[in-house]
Amino acid sequence: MKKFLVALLGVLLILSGCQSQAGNSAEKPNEKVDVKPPDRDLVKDGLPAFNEEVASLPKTDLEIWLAADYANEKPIQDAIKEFKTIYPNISVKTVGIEWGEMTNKVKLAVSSGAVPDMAHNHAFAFGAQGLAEPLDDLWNGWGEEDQFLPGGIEDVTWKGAKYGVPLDINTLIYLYNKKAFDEAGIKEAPKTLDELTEVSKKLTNKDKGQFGFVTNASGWSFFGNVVAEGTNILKFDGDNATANLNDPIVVETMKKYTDLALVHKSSPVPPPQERQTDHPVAMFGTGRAASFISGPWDIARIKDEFPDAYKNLATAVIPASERGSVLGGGSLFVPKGSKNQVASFELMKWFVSDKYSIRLAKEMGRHPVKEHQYNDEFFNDPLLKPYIETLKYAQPYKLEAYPEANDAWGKALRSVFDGADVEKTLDNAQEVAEKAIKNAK
Amino acid sequence: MKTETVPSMNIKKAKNNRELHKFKDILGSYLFVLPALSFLFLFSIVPIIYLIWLSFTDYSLPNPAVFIGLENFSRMLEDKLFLKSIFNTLVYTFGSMALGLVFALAIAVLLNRQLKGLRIFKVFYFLPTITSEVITAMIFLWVFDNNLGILNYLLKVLGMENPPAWLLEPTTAMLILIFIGAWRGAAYNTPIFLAALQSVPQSYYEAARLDGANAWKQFIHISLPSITHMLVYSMVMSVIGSFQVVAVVDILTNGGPMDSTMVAIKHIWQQSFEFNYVGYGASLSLVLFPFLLLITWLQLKLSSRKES
Repeated sequence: MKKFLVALLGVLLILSGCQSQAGNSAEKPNEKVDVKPPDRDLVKDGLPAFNEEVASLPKTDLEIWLAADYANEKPIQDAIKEFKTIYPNISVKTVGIEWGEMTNKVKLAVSSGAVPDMAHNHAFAFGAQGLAEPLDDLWNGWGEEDQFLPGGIEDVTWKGAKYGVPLDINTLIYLYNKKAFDEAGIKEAPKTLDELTEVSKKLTNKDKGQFGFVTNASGWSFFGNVVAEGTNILKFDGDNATANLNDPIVVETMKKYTDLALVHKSSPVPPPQERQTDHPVAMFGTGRAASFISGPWDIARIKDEFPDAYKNLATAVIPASERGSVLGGGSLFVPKGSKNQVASFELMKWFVSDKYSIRLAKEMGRHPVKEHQYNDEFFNDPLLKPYIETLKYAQPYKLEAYPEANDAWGKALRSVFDGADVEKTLDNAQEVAEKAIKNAK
Repeated sequence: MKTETVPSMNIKKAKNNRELHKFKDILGSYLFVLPALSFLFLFSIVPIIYLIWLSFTDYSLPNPAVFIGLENFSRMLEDKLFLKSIFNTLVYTFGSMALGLVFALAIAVLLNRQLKGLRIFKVFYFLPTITSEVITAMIFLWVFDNNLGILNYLLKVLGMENPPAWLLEPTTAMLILIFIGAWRGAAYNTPIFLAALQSVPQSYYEAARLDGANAWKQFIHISLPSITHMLVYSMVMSVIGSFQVVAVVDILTNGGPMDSTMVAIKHIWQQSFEFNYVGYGASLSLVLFPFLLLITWLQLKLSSRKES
């Protein structure tokens, strides 16, 4: 026993020795590293130009928090690896965090002072809540704002200030089974919500348990329909936002959309879970539904998981009287309090460079934020045409800047699916949203 | 003189030694519990004190907390959803506790009878407890989903045209949550009840049999009173566990339909972290404490009356 205790003590002493050594090496933030410009032309390779300011930084340790389904993907890790070979003075530690958890984690990090140097979500929402550093000076120094799609810039902008760099972008389209359409004698995809109702009714076969369409109860996704009908749930007068949840067009759109399931029975009632993305694609992929609304990521998913359904897959813009949809995707930002803004911003530039943005699209189905990157032949895929068309008019979901209003909007849609009156429900949601916007700090 | 002083000195010395030993014993005991007590103090007592302070503040991260007195508590009175969530939690707690304890007791009694083939069952009955709540919820989602779930698929195969939308109806959604809670509770309590039943002296049963008592009477008059202490323990633990339910609700119903399965912890979490009303969230959690205390006290009172 004694021998064991002595051995254990020995091991602990050795380990504590290792610990203090590791600590010492990490605690040399001002150590100077001689960084020389590379022999090759980085710009020719589709990368940002060599940045003298970053090269002159002392030894810097970056901790970056990326969404869990990005953090360990090859394009991201390869970009970090190459970045570190050009800037050996910068080390990067990547942490994967669930998308929905990012807000809480960043809030706690900012309030405790132990902040990461980069985080991944919707930069504007974090800027609005005082959780992100404004990066306008770095943007001005970069001078490439005009290369970005306007929607991408909107995802990082709050009240005129830019809080991050958009990483990828997406929007929603109408996905349908062209074989089912042919068999029902339907020549083309529906162009309005009324046409969608008629087409979905035709495609519904109760005996076979097949539906013409799959609705979903996501407030974010339904906002796409609202935009496509030519209105918005938030109105902006300069920097001042006002809630517009009970706008007559919103009321009518929600009524028609939910009626697809509740009145016409040409769609199943969406499941009650918060995550709404799995149900429609599963219904479509298994042949239980002929159409649904989703993003380009589901094209890749149908190809991988439901190859038979992929053979008959066709896409179109969302059926609506106007054009556009919700603008999704994500952006990178520097949480409030981080001292490594320059290095962090440079790494963001690398992630959205031509070399790695196209890889993000091809390997991960995450589409680029720079307009010229859509000239790549990868985007000649006819299934992506309606997506690229919709991107031009897509609008970001700014309600996310007001969490309570965002919840009221999502809950309103869910309640209508559960049987509540549309008008009354949206009036109540409007009241909550007005209060939330007024109380926002 | 000498002969008198030596014994008295010895007695004094012995007394001193005894006291020293006693002191060392006490000091040793305290030193042994010190690490555990430090952890308890640091990770339970300090957060509780901090929570009490937070409940009197307006605190939204990352801004500093501002003292607002009793404002959070007066706001609570107007929070209809909180009252509803307390009601839902009570329904869930009593439903899952009652059902879970009955299941557990029934299984424990069967296992105690050592019937043939039950040994294999012993391997499986604890599985629900060691399965994570999230996985449990996912399993039941695949069972009860009205479009893609296995239950409705089977009901359709059996000829039912419109099987129920289990998770979309307030009553069935709550019943399913209660059933899952009971399923997990039964798995946790079965070995406890089995151990308690096995500790009841066999001579009691032999005497009862000689007096002509049947199996039911033996269960009511011998088994049940002998394991009352364990029943109370399980009830208290079930109430505390049920009040903390959130993962299953989050995954299966998200508090719906129409807030019919919104439970207290989910509401508190939403207020504190989703809406960033940390101070208000703290005051809501503080209100749960007397609830739990009252229920536990009632249970202990009830059991002590039974035992006496």
